[in-house]
Amino acid sequence: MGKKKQEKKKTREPRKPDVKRPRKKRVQKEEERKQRLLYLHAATPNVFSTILGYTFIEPRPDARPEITATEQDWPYENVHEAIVDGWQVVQFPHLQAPFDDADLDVVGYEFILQKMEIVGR
Amino acid sequence: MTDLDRAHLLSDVEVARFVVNGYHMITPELPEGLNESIATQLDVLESNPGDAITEAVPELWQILEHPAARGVLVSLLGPDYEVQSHRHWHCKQAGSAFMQWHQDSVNNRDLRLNRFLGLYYPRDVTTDMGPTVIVPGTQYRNAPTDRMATYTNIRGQVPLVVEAGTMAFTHYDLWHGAVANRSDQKRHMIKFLFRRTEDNTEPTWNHDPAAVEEERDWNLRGQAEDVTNILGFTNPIMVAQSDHYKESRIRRQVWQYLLGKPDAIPA
Repeated sequence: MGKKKQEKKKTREPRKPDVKRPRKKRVQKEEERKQRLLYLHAATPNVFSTILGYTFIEPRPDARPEITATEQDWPYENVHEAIVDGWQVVQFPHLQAPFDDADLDVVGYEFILQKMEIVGR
Repeated sequence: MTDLDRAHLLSDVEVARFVVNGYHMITPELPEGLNESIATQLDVLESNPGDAITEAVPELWQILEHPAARGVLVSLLGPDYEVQSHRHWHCKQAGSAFMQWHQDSVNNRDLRLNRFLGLYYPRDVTTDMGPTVIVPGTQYRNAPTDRMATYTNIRGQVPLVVEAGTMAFTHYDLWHGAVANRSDQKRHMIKFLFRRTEDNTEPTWNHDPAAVEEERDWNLRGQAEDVTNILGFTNPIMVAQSDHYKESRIRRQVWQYLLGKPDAIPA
């Protein structure tokens, strides 16, 4: 006959009332944050120059920026304002393109910015 | 040219503004019911007849031949302008999506003012009916349409929210797009093309030689109401110095070309 195993019931020790457990801080998990994009077309490559065009691209399946016919609500006056608001420049305008002192091509200089945030569906 | 046509010729200031902004709009006094008659016929067309839209709706010729329309065409393209055979009915269906910025055709731009579009709207167009949107002053930009794909709203853009019977004459190379149609109505627009056949030997609008004698006024700048200052200072989309200087030079060349100096624009 085998030895009867006596299970010892584990009992939790009562929490000591004088010990404070640190509160868990809610941190944005990296995988939950998504890339918001902002294209800003500035009048010059200087981040303080006036913005001539903008496009927001939100990380949602149905996000499609479109031209509007109503009064425009310009988000920022210049790229610097966007940086102050937490946007990070991920691409600066390319200035190595062939220079032409007569011809005109696209409007403004394109900055691409991102903000990593949790965005609702 | 009839006296009636002559009475509808553009002024120096109107031509200068076209050279700067790349568009001019008119709302001619048309026979009562004409716009609605055209719109009703378009409502029931089952397929797009393409260039034959004027055969499907012959009343469209009354718009093109109206003295107010002829006055603009003679002023900007000369008395021997041609109504080209290509034309198109743009029916923007209820619920249809927006249209991205583009310049028509490929990048073979010509600074000579030798062709432009006439956009006729037979019914009122409201903001929710998918109006055409233009960007004044972009007509001298040689930009592949693919390079415009990251723009949405552009400073100074103008939605053509217009009343029935409006004809918008736009420079062929003007950047344009369209807003989504979120209404429950079709938005009709007929696009016509016009072409110059002869270089000007003299101005073909109501020209006053004294109109170009104003000095540059650095205080008035964009508020000026004379040719010199309109061509020199207007900055419709607030571009910076390099682009603004280039634009000003091109405008002066185009103005000289229209005055009857074909060599003003380098080949």
